[in-house]
Amino acid sequence: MAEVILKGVTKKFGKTVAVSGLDLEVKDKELLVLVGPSGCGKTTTLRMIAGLDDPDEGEIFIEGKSMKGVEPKDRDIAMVFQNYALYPHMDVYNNMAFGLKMQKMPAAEIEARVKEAAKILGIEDLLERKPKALSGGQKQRVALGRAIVRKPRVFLMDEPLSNLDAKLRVQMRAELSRIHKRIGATIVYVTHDQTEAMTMGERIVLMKDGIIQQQGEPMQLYDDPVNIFVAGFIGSPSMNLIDGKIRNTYDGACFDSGDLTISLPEKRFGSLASRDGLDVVLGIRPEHIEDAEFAPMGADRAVLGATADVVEPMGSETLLYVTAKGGTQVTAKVNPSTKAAFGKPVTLSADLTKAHLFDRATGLAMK
Amino acid sequence: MARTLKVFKNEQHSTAFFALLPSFAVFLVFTLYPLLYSLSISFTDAGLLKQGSTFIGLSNYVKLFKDPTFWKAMLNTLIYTVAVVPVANALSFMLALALNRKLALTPIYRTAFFMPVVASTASVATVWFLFYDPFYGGFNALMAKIGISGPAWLSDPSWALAGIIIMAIWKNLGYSMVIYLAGLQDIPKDIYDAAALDGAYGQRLTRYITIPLMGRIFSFTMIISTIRSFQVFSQVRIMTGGGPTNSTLVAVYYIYRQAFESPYRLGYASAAAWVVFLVLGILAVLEARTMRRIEQ
Ligand SMILES: Nc1ncnc2c1ncn2[C@@H]1O[C@H](COP(=O)(O)OP(=O)(O)OP(=O)(O)O)[C@@H](O)[C@H]1O
Ligand SMILES: [Mg+2]
Repeated sequence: MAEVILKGVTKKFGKTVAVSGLDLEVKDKELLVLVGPSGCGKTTTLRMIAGLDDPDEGEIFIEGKSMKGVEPKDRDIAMVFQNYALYPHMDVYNNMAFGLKMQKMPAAEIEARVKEAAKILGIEDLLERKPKALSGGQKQRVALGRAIVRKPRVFLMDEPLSNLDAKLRVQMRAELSRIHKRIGATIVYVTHDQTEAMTMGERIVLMKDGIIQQQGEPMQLYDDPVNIFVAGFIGSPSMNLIDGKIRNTYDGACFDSGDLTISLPEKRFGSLASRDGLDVVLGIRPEHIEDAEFAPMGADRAVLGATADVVEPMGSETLLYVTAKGGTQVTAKVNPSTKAAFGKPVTLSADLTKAHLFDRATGLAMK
Repeated sequence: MARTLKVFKNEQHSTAFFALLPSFAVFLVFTLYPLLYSLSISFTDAGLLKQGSTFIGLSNYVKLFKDPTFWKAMLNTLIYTVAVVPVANALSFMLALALNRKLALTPIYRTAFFMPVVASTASVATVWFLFYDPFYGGFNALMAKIGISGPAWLSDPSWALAGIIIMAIWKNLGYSMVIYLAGLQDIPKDIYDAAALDGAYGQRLTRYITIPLMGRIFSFTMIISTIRSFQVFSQVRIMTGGGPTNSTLVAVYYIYRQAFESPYRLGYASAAAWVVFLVLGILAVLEARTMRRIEQ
C-alpha cells in the first residue's frame, strides 16, 4: 500500500515560501497530477517526497511510515528530473542500469529490464550513446527509462514529457498510462500543462504560490472551479472572465459590466436579491459560446453582438476572438460552418446555465 | 592609413592585431628568442665569461650523454616526480572531497592548505631546512614522540631526496586541491540527486560518479604537476645544494651548475636544457595519451 501523505508541509528558501502548509494524500496505485504555473512549488514538493530536501514544517508519510530522517535511497522512489539529470559519463544503457547495479541485481535481469524499458520508450537504437549525443526528447525518454526499470513503489515525474513533439507526447502519455495500469505504481506527475493534467490525472491537485487551490477529479475542477484562478487555469482556451456588478431589476438579477448587461438565470445562480451592487466576475468558457446561427433558442442564453478580430478554423471547430460592445474581449469556440470573418460583425449566443460567478473581492466562486 | 593596412581583411582583424601586439612582443623577446638562442648555442662552446664562441656540432650532446652525473640528476628528477605527482594528487583530491561541503570552518581550511602554494619556495625551504635538523628540528622531535628515532634527513644521502619529496608534497597539496575543488563544484547537483535516488552514496558515489566526472581535471592536474615537478630547483638549491654526494641533484639544478658555476659552460648547459625539455615533452605526451585512454 504505497500511499503518500503530506501533512502541513512547508518549505522556505530564505524569504521565498516555496510550499506552504501543504496537505496532500496520494492514494495507493493512484496517478495524481500536480499542476500549476511556473514557480508554484511543484518541483519542491517532489523533492521533499523524494527526500532530497527536508520540509521546514510538517511531515511526510509513505505507507504510513514517517519519512523523517529516512535517506532518499531507502525510500524506494524513482524520480524523473525536470532537466533529466542523466549521468554524462555513462551511455544510455548504463544510465538506466545504474540504479539496478547499485541494488546488486543479477546482470541478466538488469539487461532484460533495460531492454524492455528501451523498447517501450522507443530508444533501443540509442543504448550505446552518451547523453551529450541525444536530443532533448531522447534524453527525456532515457530519464523516464531510468525510473521505469527500477519498478519502485512510488514514481515522481517532473514534467517528463515537456520536451517531446506533439505526436510523441500523446503517444508517451498513453504509454505512461498503460505502464501505470500494468505495474500499478503510485505516481505523482507534475506538469504545468493543463491539457496534460486533464487527460492523465485520475485526480488533479492545482497549486499556486505554494498553496493548493483545488483538488479533485479533472471534470470536477473543470465544472466547479472554486475560485477565479482555477477557472482561468483549467480549460483551453481559458475561460472568459468579465468584470462587472450585480444589479437587481424587476425581472431578476443581472450582470452589468457597464457595456454589457446579461441576465443571470435563477436556476443556475439562485436568488441574488441580497447581493445587489456586489463586484463580481462573470466566467463563461469559450466552448459554451456559439455562433447564434447554430445555437439552440432558449431562455437561458445571452445574445451578444461583436466584431470578429481573429478567426481560427481548427477543423472540428473554429475559434473566434471577438470584441464586444465597449471593448470587452471574448473568445468563443463555435461551429466550423460559421460565416464569421475578420472585421465583420458576428452574433454570439452564450449558454448561461454553464456560466460561473465569482466574488471579485475574495476571488471565490459564488454558490 | 586605410590603404597601407590592406593586409587586414577588415577592421576587426586589425584591432585584434594591435591588441595582441604587446604580449606577442613580450613573448618574442623573453620566450621565443631565448629558446632559439639556447638551441643555437647548444652547438657551440659558448661560455658566460668568454668572448665569442666556436661551432662544435654535437659534441656537447655527446659529452652530456656520457656524463654519469647528468644521468644521476635525471634519475633523481624522475624519482622525485614519480613520488610527488601521484601522492600529492591523491592527497589533494581527498582533501578537496573533504572540503567540498558547506561547513563553518571549510573556508579557513581551504586557505590554510593553499597558503604554502603561494608562499615563496625560498622562505618555505628555509623553514623546512631548520625543521629537518636532526637535533634541534621539529620533525625528529615529533617522530621521537611516537618512538621512532628519525634519520639525519638532509645530510644523509639515503634520506635527503625523501626529505625534499615530503616537503614538495606538502607545498603542492593546495595547488591541485583548488583545481579539484573547482572541478567538484562544477558537477551539477542534480546528478548527485539522481545518484542518491539510485542508491549510490559514500564510497560508491565517489567511485562511480565523482571520479569519472572529474576525468578531464585529473588529466590536467597530473600533466601540469608533472611539468612542475620536472622544474624543481629552489628547494634543492636552498636545502641541500644537490648533496650529499649528488643524492638530491635534480635536472634543473644540474643545468644551473653547468651555466653559473665555474667553468660557466653556457653551450653545454643549453644542450642539457634541451635534452631535459625533450624528455619532459615526451613524458607529458605519453601521460596525456594514457589519461585519455583511461577516461574512455
Ligand atoms: N534551491 C532554491 N533556492 C532558492 N529558491 C528556490 C530553490 N528552489 C526553488 N526555489 C523557489 O521556490 C519556488 C518554487 O520553486 P519550484 O521549483 O518548486 O517551482 P515549480 O513549480 O517546479 O516551477 P516550474 O514549473 O518552473 O518548474 C520558486 O519561487 C523558486 O524560485
Ligand atoms: Mg519545476
